[in-house]
Formats: sequence, structure tokens, C-alpha cells
Amino acid sequence: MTNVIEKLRHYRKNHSPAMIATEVMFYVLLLLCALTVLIPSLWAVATSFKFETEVLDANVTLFPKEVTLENYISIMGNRNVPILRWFWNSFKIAVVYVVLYLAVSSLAAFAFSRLKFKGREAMFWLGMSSMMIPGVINMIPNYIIIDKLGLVDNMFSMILPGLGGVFGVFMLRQFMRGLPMAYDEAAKMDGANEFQIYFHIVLPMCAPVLVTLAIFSFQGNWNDYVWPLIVTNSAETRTLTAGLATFSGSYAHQYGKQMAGAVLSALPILIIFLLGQKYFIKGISIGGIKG
Amino acid sequence: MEKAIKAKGEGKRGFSVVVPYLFVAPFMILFIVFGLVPLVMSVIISFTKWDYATPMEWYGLNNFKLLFGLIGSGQVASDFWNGVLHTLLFVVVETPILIAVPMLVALLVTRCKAVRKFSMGFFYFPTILSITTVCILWNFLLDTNSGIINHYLGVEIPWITQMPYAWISIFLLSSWWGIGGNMILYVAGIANVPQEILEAATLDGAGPVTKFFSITLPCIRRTVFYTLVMTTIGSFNMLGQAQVLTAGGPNYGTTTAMMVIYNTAFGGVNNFGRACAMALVFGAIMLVFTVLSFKLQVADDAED
Repeated sequence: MTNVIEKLRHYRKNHSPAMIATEVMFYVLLLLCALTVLIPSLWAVATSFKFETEVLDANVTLFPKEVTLENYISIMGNRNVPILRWFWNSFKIAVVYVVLYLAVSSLAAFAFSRLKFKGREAMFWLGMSSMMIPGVINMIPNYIIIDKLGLVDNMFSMILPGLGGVFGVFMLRQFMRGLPMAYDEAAKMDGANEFQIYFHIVLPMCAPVLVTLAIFSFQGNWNDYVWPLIVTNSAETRTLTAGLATFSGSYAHQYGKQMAGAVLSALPILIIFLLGQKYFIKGISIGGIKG
Repeated sequence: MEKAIKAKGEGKRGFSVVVPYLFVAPFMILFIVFGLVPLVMSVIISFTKWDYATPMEWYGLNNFKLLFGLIGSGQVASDFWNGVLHTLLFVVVETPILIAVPMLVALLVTRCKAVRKFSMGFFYFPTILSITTVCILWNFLLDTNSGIINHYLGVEIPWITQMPYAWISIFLLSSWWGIGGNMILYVAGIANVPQEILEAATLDGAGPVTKFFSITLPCIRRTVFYTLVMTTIGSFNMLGQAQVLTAGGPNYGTTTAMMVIYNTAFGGVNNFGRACAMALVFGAIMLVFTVLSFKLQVADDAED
């Protein structure tokens, strides 16, 4: 604390009052922006601990007059809205998806950037040209394919279609092309085969891009709304994003319970985000968009 | 002996020819099954009348004629184009918001060095929430009687059930949800702008606005371009907000193209033929926008 005061004193010595005033103004502006994020979240949390009668009271206050866990207990006991189950589904699906997506994309990108074979350019550009095709066109046929494969209500229905995406291959190929081929040649001299070169040499060097890709693909899969709705019929197999779609309807005007649901659905991902925040911001800053 | 070695060598070479294909096989198979085959299927299905339960019927161009109001009562056409117009409205209003506001926040976050890292995480928070969670939250905040927005403003606006408030609510919610995503990319981009150039400009007497437009913005234009394309595509696909928050209402006023297609294909009756035709027409409109923005990028690169 004294350290901070010392620093501030030092700061005041070196800056004119006008400069300090502008600096303070910027921080105040930032704080105002922060409040627009904070206030809605705070209201949600506070409301989730209120009795429904208090929520509907015209004389509304932020903090509950009487704290209750009733809303949470009621939601956890409702078998029609298994929020924790949905969370687990979402998490499981997103993790498996990210791992497979990175594996499939990096294997292909490795071949497209560092191996020579017939049809390489043709295959690559066939993939790239499809990048601009809007996903909505494939939505209905993909449902038919998933149904014919017998994967409706199966977690892989929410994993496989996304793995054919070309964005990851594109990004990784761009990055791998920038890595010197001398590494591969040296390893080859030492008797390493292509897979060993891929796994032990090229892949570790791609770590920053892999982190960025992992974040983007995790979020894309996690937030997918329409696809899980299409390929799941039972509440059991839904993801969080899709499952919550009918949540407000089943608790119409019971905002205490709706907010308890919102908090429950946000909490696990918030914890994951806070744990991985360091890598996350680094991944975005390093991987960036250089492609 | 020599022969055996030669044969082995050839066998090995034979295998090494296959190796690259093994690397691309998983991707190519998935890409063909879930990327290429569906594209062809979509075109074929759009020429049929098919409810998925009974056999497909050849329908010629009738689905497309229906969409352009050339046959039938015109109801299908008006529903579809109503949705497309709403989607375009969303794209035209929301995309600039999600480019400009995150840029301002990013500049502010960069400026406030002491809390830069913390602010990045903080403003990113809404983006990690799923769209349905965000809709549940805002459905409460915007409630006419017990919502805090009316409470603070001291009014009784029916935010969700009346025009133009329903659209304002959707824009508000989408902005709250989406600002952090682009902001974090801009902050990362701004951090890479060479400090020497900015300092030199300051010495030459350039103001903050001049510095932004003639140094910072050109330096991060690739990031801006990326967010522009991604935000535009995302806005075109808008569905969750309209379905969960406003249920497409009031009076179909916030029904988007994605919603019309979804309801045609999966809303009770599986009208796959018509829905595929809709997806193709809507997809073509999206494609025009994406191709245009890619052209912009290519033109920009050519200048370097």
C-alpha cells in the first residue's frame, strides 16, 4: 500500500495537473464502460437470490431484502431443464471437437505445406474455394447425412460436420509455410519419418496458432445454437446453448428462477475462462491474424 | 540378396508415395462428406418437393418460382423476403456498431495501461456467454414491469413486444454480447503498432485523431478487415436473438431469413425442397457480400 502511494507521489511530481486530469478522465470513461457490463450481470446474480414476490415488487432494489436459495433448488430439481447435464454435454462436445479439429487440420496443413504429392494444389484450392460458401446451404443436407448415419441425438452429430471446416487448415498452412524446411531435412537425415517430423518438430512450433485456433473453435462450437437444436430430439442430449432456448418459456415471468438458470449456465464457462485467461489473451495476441 | 534389398526399397518408396495422402485423408473425407456432398445435395433437393417422410417428387423450378412470387399466392415469397430484409437490416445496423464501438473501447483500454490486461478479460466476459444465456438475462432487464431498464429510466416501454423497441432491444443485446470479441482483437493489433512511428508523429505535432487515422488504423487494417468479414457473416446468420428474445415478433417484425429457413425445414413439417431453395437464394446474397469484401482486401493488398 505504501508502495502504491509512493508511486503515485512520484507520478505527481513528473506530470502536470493537466496531464493528470486527462489521465483520470480516461480511467473514468473506462469505468463507465465497465459498468455497462457489470450492472446487468450484478442484477442477474442479485435477482437469482430473491423470492419471486420481491422480484415483482414495484419497489425494486438491487440487493435482496431477504436472501433465498429457493430458485437454485427449484431449478436443480427440475428434470426438464437439466442445466448441469447440458453444461457437461457442451463441455464434452466442445473439448472433443477442438482436439479432433486441431489434429485433422494440422495433419492436412502439414501435408499441404511441407510434403510433395500429386494433386496437392488442386485439393487445397478445392477446399479453400468452399470457404466462402455460406454454411446455411449445407444445413439441411447435413441433417439428412447425420440422420442416415444414425447419429441424431449422438454427441458426434455436433462434432463431425464442423471438422470438415477449412479455416483451420488455411491458417495452419500459412503458418507452417513460414517455418524453415531445414528442420525437416535435418530430422530426416537422423532417420525420422514424416509423422515424427510432424508430431515432434512442426507441431510444437505451431503452438501459438494452435492455441488461437483452439479458442476460436471452442467458442464456435460452444455457442452453436441452431445445429444442436436440429440434431437433438431429447433434452438429455442437448447442449447448454440449445437446451436453454426454451428455458424462459418454462419459467415465464419467474425472473428469480430465470436468473438462477442464467447464473448456473454462465458460472462454469466463467471459471474456465478465468483459469485460462492468460493463455487466451496471449494466444490471440501472438497468433493474431497474419494469415 | 541385392534383388531383395531393391524390392524392399521399392516397397518403401511405394509406401512413402501414399504417406502424404494419409495426412490429408481425414480432412478430405470429412470435407467431402460434410462440405461438398451437402452442397450438391442442396442443389438437387431444391428442385424437388420433399417432406423427408414420403418419396421425393421432381418439382422443377417451382420452389424458386414460389420464392420470387411467380406462382402461388405470394405468401411464401413475402414471408421469405420479409426475413431477408430483416436480416439485411440487422447486418447494416449491427456490423458498423460491432466495428466502431469495440475500436473505441480498445483505444480506451490501450490508453489505460495500468488495467489493460484486466480490462481485456473484463470486456470479453459477455462474449463467452452463450446467446441463450444472454437472451434470458436481457429478457429480464427489458421486462416492461419488473425490468431494471424501465425502472432506471422511469418509463414503461414494452421493449420486446412493440416496434421499433423490439429491434432496439435486439441491437442492444447483440452489441452487449459482441463488443468484447472484436475489442480484444483490436487491442492485440494496436499493441503491434510500432511505438517509434507514433512518437515521431507526436513530435511532428500530430493530434490523437490524426495519429489514429494515419498510423494506427492503417497498421491494423488486416485485423479490421478480418473482423469486418467475420462480423458480417455472423450478422447474416443471426437467429438466436430473434428466436429466444422476441420469438420473431411482434407480428413477424423481427423474423430473420435464418428463422424462415429453419421453420420451413424443421418447424413441424419438413419442407426440405423449399427450404433448400431458400438457403441457396439467401446463400447467394451472402456470397455477394463476402466476395465483395474479399475483393476489397485483394485490392488493398495490391497497393502494398
